[in-house]
Amino acid sequence: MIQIKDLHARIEGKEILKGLNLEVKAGEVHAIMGPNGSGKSTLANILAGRSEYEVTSGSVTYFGEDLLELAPEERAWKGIFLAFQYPVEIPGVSNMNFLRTALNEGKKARGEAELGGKDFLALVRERAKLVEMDPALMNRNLNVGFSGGEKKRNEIFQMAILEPKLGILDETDSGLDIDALRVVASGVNTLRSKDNAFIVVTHYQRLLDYIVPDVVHVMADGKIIKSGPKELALELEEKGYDWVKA
Amino acid sequence: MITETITDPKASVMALLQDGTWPLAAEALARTQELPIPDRRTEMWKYTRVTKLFTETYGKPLGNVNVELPARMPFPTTRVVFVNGHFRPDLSDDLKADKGVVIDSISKHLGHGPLRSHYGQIAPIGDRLFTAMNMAAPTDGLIILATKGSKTSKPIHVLRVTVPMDNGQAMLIQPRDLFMLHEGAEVEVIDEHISIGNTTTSLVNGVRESAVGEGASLTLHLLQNEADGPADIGLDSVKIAAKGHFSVDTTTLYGSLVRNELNVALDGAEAHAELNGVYLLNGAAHCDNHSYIGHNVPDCTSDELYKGVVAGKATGVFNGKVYVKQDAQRTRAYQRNANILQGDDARVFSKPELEIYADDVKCSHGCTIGRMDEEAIFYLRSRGVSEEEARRMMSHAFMVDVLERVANPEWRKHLGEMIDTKLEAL
Repeated sequence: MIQIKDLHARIEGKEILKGLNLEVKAGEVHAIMGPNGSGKSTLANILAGRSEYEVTSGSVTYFGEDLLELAPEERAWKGIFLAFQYPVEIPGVSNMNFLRTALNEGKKARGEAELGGKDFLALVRERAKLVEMDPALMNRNLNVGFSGGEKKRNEIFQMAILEPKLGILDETDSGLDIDALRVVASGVNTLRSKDNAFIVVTHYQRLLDYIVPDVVHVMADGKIIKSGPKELALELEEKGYDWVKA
Repeated sequence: MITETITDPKASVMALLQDGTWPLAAEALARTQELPIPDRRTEMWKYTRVTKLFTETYGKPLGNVNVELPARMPFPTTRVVFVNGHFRPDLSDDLKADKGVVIDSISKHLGHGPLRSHYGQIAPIGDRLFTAMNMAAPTDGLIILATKGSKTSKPIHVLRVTVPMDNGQAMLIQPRDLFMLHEGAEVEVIDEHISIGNTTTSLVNGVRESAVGEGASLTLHLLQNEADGPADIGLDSVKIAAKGHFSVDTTTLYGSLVRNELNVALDGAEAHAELNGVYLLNGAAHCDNHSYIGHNVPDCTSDELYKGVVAGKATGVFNGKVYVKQDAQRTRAYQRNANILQGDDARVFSKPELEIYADDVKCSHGCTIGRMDEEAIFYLRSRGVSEEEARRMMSHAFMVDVLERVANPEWRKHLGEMIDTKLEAL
């Protein structure tokens, strides 16, 4: 699905990614772990198209296409979704209107039929259950006045509506209590299929008890320095990051 | 020996204002002669240059020209039409439908006693050159006289159209309105300025005086929609008696040089004034919103919110002053101005001012000038909202709180649509 080759990137002149390689196939869940500042979030944001990062060399091929050439919305239309570490509050934009616009712009771009008001509402009701989201939040302004947990649920809820091919979770577990974590994870697990894939960026092993990955990667200093099966996460938890660096 | 030729820059305007027949015309003409043209050293006009308006040779406007009027408002109104400042009964609705409310051309009522007691009193000339000019020779205008407890059944839509004259000469158009609301009366007015054809060399210089009686309510919706239109300078002077209520929303969508001055006096206990403004400017548009709210007695409230999106080479100016007199205790006054700048050549000057001499008050003021929140734009785009739509959504969201303060749902909906259309063009 996606191949990342020798990716170098910087922000404000500072090199963050220093030759990153990663391949993710349909049906897989990859966890990316690593200490603060290792470049995990940078990778997630570059894949979603955040323009502050400058890719200096390397390539990202997504379904055979050069991903880096695409605008953020084009990436979304082709099935990329980034769940933000810090979802943005947008006063004056309603959750529902925004989401319907996002969904229908994607459908239009893919040549699919747009969803009418009634069908959209039905879809919203069904998917809200997945993340046990309070329906009252739907009509509120986007993330405004949401608790940390509600914001993260809203991210997964949006993902459930947009049904991406590649879901990227950027520290979705940070700031969540155990109940919220369980809800978010079960949402992701329900969405897992043989046709889609997930990259789960996390600092802690905890989330991976609930979203069980196929591969665990350890990042340090802008590169993946170790990859292995899910047990690698447990070993990391036990021995700390210095163990892989050594 | 050096010979200096001094030419009066106001000479061409003065020539037009001679021999006025309206009340106080002679006195106003004398003041026009005396008062200097405001320039950059004049604090009240610091960011709005008007000297160029006096280099034009104006003629007297003619109202008797053929015009094709635009579609009516999408809700019931009583429409009153002025063409180049002149009342056009043939284009206006029946103005006698509302019992107890006189709606008419003001020029027919100049001898009326109550008019004489208010005319020129609510908006005295002071050191205002444009007010003096207006008073020396008004073109015509609207009088609304609402008797005790009367009410307009639907908003009065004053449509002021500027149309080029056959000879193409620039015009000096001077609308002059007087609204008098007696005890408990309720009046709602939409005052729309449009231009049909190119009238960019003309000048509209309007003055309106409004007296809001005890417990009365005046709602004004001002709409400046003048593509290729004249310079538009206007003063609204309002005095509000006890428990009176004044609400105004000013929306500027087009205008090469627009100056909206609002002068509000809260003269009776528990009087309330609410001032809202929206300006969406691009091209070389210039809009200056200048307000003064005088809290003259205790227990009054005022609330002011102006928001603008300024793009292209346009300029937005906000200068709002709230003045609280020494004995105006328990005043509550809020004032806020927020701006979004688009592009490198757009400019905003914002100057909120509070001057407080009472000690038991709740007042706040503030202004923001910023760019669009790019983090929010990226968030929306990352979900599949196109950049164009994301920017439109964000601009709309920025304006939502001003719209929410508009009480009339029909006007709010119409205004919201006009704002969205204009935002798309920015």
